[in-house]
Amino acid sequence: MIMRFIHKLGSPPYFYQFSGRLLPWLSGICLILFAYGLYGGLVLAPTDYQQGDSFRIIYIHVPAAWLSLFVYMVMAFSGAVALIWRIKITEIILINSAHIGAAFTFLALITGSIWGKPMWGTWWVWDARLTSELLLLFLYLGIIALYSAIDDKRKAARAVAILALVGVVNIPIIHYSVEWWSTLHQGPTVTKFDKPSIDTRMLIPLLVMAFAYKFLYAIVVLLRARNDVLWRERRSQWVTALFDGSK
Amino acid sequence: MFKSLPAYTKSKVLAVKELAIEKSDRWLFQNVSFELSPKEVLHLEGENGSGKTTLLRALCGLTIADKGDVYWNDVSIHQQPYDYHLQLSYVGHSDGIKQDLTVLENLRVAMVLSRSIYKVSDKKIMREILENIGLKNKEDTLAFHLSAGQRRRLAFARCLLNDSALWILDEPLTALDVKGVSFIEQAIQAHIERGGLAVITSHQPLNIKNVRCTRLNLSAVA
Amino acid sequence: MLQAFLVILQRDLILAIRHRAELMNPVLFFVLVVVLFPLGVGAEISILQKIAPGIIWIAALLSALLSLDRIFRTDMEDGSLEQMLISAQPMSLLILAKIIAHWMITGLPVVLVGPLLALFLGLSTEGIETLFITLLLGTPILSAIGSVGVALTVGLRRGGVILSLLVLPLYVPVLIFASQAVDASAAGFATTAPVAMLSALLLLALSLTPWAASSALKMSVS
Repeated sequence: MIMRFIHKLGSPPYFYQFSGRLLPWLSGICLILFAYGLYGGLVLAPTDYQQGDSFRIIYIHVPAAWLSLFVYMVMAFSGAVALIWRIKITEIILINSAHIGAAFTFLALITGSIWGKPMWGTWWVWDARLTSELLLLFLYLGIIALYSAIDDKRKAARAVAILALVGVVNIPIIHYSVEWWSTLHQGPTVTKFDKPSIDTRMLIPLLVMAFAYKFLYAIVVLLRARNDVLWRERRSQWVTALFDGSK
Repeated sequence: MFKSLPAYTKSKVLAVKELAIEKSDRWLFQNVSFELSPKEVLHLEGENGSGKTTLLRALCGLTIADKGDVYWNDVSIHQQPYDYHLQLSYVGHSDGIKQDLTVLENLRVAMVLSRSIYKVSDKKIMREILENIGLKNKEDTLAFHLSAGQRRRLAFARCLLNDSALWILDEPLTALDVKGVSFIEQAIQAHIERGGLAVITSHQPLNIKNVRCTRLNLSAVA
Repeated sequence: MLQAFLVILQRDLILAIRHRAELMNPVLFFVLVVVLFPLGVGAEISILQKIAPGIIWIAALLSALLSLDRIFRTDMEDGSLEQMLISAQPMSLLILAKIIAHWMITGLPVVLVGPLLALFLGLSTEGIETLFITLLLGTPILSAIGSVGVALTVGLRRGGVILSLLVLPLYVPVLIFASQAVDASAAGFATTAPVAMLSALLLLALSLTPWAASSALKMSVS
């Protein structure tokens, strides 16, 4: 059943049609989630007794950091599917995710460093999470660079799929090693996340924001993938028919 | 010199079904189908850039087709890579010869890779093979010092190491003198008579007698 | 199979020895990078002593990176790689042989020279012993992970910069565990944990990277 659906979704015209129908729904849900999450986070949630209002940046920072890992997992999964079944759509999803993932990783780094300023008094601290995030950014940039260096895009997609799988094996190792490294070297004592407990009024908007980010990712990746599909299939009949009909 | 060898025991039918390969979002060729039985030669023709080399590499399993598949004995070659590779000898554009290894060292690597029926330590066989390819007394010469024609012969020697039933040869006659051309033609002839199959691209006509030679023009297919 | 492994290993070693001039380059580069540090940081022995493990390990990473390309580059250019891919031997085994050959050519000299340089940087005897162990365990990992990076980029005209972008982040755990182990032993602490981690990484790398490199090479030659 599921396999048949995946294969069906793998056909470019069906994917184009299906994603077209999906997008308005995704956008609607995403808007609602963002509205609630931002309102809840920036207005409803109580002020932190230690950090004051500056803690509110977590509603931007933490979901971005979570998403940056999530996107990599999606890439590794679609990479595996692309390698095994050679489905074009998964190749397209994979490579279009890389740019988005890199963007969110960058966002997490920037917001983390902005948050660091009032917390630690400097823009950058070699904190374990920030350092892992920085390395993750390099993994993303490597994927993007490799993809753009190979001219034949099907070949490039296969290369990137292999790299994503190698990366996904390495991410836990890198993360663990960096954490281990920072416990030996770490100076600053205030860690951002290891609070004994977080108020539910703070937590719920955070989780909502995390979902909102995921929907945003889904929307952007579908939009990009649809463009890519049209471009790659520009010589095929169904694309020509699509554009003749709209004129 | 090739007459005395026994017939191949594992010669099977090579079948290509509706093969299509895409390069940069454009079909290089589509719907290529043929069947090649033992004792047959397929002569691939087509303009430069029509995908001859790509098709040969797809037959080897080096390039994965976007549609269709290649079958050896009715089983996809990707499902039986080792059995298939055991029956396959491929001489491509780049000859796979290491310049900084001697002739004998090159042969030795090739023999191990193809799981040759012969042993490198068997001096008599080695001498025979070298004599066959016209490189007598060149065992310890670096491949770097060979002429282009001699290097081609050395590359071609891979076909003679392992009783492989399927030869895939990409322009085997280029850079060869008259003697070299007739050597390769004789080798192919003997190979076919032993029950082998060959897929060959060549700009020059092949002079092989009493053999069913099919022609396939890729430019026409595209 | 064992024979194939040994023949490829021997082949790569012979090729390296026939290029004696290139053989010295990685280790010279390694020494040079280490020598640059006192010139840049200052010759104060207490500072040097403190950063010696980091210096030596970063130099080892860079010199490994510099020499990685040769694992597959020439084999790609002369067609040997194609012959290995269509050979009747498992590709991952051949790659493992090539990784080990690469390590013997470029890693082993670093393992031997590294402790000597540590002496110049004023590292204690315990530190030097641990440094030797970490280099012995760590440098093969560099060759193994590097082989995947090279396999992915070997088909590119300008793969060098991309190669470093792909490989260096993956080298981070080795750098961390190795330099921490040396730090710890120089300070008189136990080094069991990081050394055990390095050994685990080594086993993991040797068992997984040949597969990844093999499928990456199939992509690169296609």
